[in-house]
Amino acid sequence: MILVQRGDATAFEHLLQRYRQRLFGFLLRRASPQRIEDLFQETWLRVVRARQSFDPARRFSTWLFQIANNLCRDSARRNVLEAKEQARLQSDAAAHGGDGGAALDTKLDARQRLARLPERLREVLVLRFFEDLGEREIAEIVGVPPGTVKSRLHAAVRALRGMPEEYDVTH
Amino acid sequence: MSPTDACRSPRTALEDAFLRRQTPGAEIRAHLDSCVACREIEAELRSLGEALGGLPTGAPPERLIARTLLRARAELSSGSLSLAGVGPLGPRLPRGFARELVRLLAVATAALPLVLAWNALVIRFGGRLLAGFVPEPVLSVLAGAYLASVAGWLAFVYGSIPFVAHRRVQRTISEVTG
Repeated sequence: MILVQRGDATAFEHLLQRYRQRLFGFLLRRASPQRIEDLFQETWLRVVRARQSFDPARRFSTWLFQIANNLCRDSARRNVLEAKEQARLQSDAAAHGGDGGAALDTKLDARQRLARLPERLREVLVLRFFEDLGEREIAEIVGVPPGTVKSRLHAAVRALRGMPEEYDVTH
Repeated sequence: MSPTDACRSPRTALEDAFLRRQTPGAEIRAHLDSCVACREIEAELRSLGEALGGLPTGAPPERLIARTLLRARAELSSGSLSLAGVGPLGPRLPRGFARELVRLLAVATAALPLVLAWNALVIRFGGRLLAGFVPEPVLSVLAGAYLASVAGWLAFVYGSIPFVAHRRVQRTISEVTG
């Protein structure tokens, strides 16, 4: 990354090749399918534009996910249709909430369960479950204390199970 | 279903194991042997973990990589030109600093003739106004003090421009990176 900060295009290409799969996988679970390619490209362009602000003492992957996660948040906020879809899925979830139907034999598959999670729960779950990041690193990426990450992770698991009443999601 | 006190800790541990994609430890296993409800949850989480873990990973298409590299190279080359020859402090300066500095200096320089003209008027007409009441030497001292204060303010304003430019660029960068 230090070479990229000096404007080295070859070093940037190495960096992109190294993290392309991981970033794409993250976006695949984090964002709506029609926005993934745009977000992928925009994340790397922001890495280039903001390269001078990168602190070499930090892990590059943390910074990369932070940028990507912020873009996902912005995208979700801007995309009204996505928000409507999210609301519809959440009302579905509420309708399913009282039937004790936590079991996996509900109509919603794993992808839909993930998609219907509120933003703040989905982002921590994706970073923990799929990216295998620690709570401190997730805290740095999403900008909340590690304790909040922990409570959101458990909230996310219970929400995935369709048991939102078992936790407090106000954090 | 609300967990009983005895189940609360094992269920949290089950969720931790799910999040780490691990199997529950021996202590939890002992509890599961005696608790049907927690066993059901464990089976549910295992099934959920398998379903999530089995989601397709996908790979970025090569055309996307090519397009991204092309645009990034263009940005890198324009950025590296702006930093070339800046000297040892160059790499510490954020990209866009020079442009912002020039912009602010241009605005400040454009306003300078107005400021100077205004102060010349103040000294000229102020001097005439006070000439009837204030002795000449005192008038000269007052004019000198006024000029010194104006010069001080101008030095402060123009001297702070690089810092303002740096701050504005940093703020833009943090907005970009969120």
